[in-house]
Amino acid sequence: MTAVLDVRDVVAGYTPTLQILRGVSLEVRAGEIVTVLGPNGAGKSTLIKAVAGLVPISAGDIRFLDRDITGMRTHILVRQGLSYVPQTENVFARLSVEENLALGADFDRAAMEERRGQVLDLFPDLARLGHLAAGKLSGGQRQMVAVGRALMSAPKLLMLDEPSAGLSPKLAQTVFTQLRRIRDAGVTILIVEQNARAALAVSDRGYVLAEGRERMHGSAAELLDSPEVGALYLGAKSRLARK
Amino acid sequence: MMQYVADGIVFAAIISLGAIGLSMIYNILRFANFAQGEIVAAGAYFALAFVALLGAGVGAMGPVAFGWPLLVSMGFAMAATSTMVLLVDWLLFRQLRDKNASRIALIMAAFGVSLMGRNIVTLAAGGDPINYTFYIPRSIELLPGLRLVPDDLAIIAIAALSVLALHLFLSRTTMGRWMRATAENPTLARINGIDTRVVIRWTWIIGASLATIAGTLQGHIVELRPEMGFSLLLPMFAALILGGVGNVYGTVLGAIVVGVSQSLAVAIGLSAYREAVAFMLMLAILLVRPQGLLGERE
Repeated sequence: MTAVLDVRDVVAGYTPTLQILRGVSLEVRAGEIVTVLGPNGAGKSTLIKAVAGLVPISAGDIRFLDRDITGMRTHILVRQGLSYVPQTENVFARLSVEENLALGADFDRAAMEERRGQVLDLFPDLARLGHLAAGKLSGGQRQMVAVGRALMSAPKLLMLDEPSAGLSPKLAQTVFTQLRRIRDAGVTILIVEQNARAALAVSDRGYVLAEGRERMHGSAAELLDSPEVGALYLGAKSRLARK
Repeated sequence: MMQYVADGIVFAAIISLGAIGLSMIYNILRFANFAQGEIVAAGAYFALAFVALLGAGVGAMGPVAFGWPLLVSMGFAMAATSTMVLLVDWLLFRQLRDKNASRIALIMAAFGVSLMGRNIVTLAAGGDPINYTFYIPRSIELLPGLRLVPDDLAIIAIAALSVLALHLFLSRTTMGRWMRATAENPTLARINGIDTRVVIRWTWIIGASLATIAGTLQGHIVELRPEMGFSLLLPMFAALILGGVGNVYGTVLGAIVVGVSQSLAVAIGLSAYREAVAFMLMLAILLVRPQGLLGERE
């Protein structure tokens, strides 16, 4: 399968003296959902931000659709099909839901209506919320707006940082189910997630990071069954393996 | 009393245009631009230069003692002032942003630009007051007890049209949406494919254009002096803070409160303290609403 994203030996951090990622490699193939797991401070969010051009990279390289994108500016990456949904502050609170969605497709306005239809098909609730300021919405509704806005740019790769954070278990499950629908529609997905069991349940493969390095990787089923993953990530292998 | 309110609104119309630029720069570039007064003055002097170049005076429109020649000159001056601020941004502020300079460093840099700008204007045009044209204002009675010079009405109309145009730009255009998005969250804006450098350029252009209108109108009804913008800086900041920092519409409301209160201070015999009266009112309102009239609590 073709690699949509190929991260090789990336060293990155917020300052030159503080490197969070210390040589991480990762591959996401077309049509996959890949989850990155790890304890707090492992570098999961930094990895996704480095790919999105938000954290300086001091070594290694990143290829997206077979093009070197190392150090490329964020807004150019988005226009090339790489979309990122941050964990927090992921909507423009003062702008309406409709404006938030429109922002996602502003640089390809000809396709805006078609994409809006696709997003509303995926998240029908957004249709009745269109005129409301995004800041007035609940956590789950905001997450729908954030993902919807990212999809408006018709991404080839959708990266999500903790999409279930702060959501009720039921709502989190809904988000993961929708991610599978998005993948089935042809979008490759990379997730960074603490909710390992729910994320791996919809994923094809996963990576485990610890202290800025890749600790292990494998199929979702292998990781769910791995005692080491349970111990590393939750401190209790039975919790992760339990279905 | 009505007369003083009307006079205050004329002053408010001028400072609101300068203060909106201040507000937009604060919103998007995240620093208080203490050089905004000099941008106002530069705009006024550029307009003077184009009036001289065109050689048609300032014209007239019926009872209004300025016409198309001054308005066309003002249009050219908007372009010239915008080019000037883009050059200053490229030479100075962009370098500081790229080096992640602190907010206080940006403010100090703006102070430096302010001092330099005033001296350059003095060197180029001299320190003496200049007028676009000499005219004797003739007031007309609008209502019993309310007389206004037609030029004052034209100034209020131009300011109102400018604010309306800005409102339509911010609410109806893609760039306006990008500016509002960048003001709220620049990182999320970049994640959405917005080139924030282009947004910053537009912010300077709009801020400089509105400042040029403010400077030209102030120059027309008062006079041109190198420190004309600096003397408007405090009322502009007062309008910005009073309205709610970063809120464009609040800035207009703040300007009206500042302008009218200064004018009413004259009405009650406190003309020597009119700026102090406006500031005391500002402090009183901020004690009740620290976020300003239309600002949001953080």
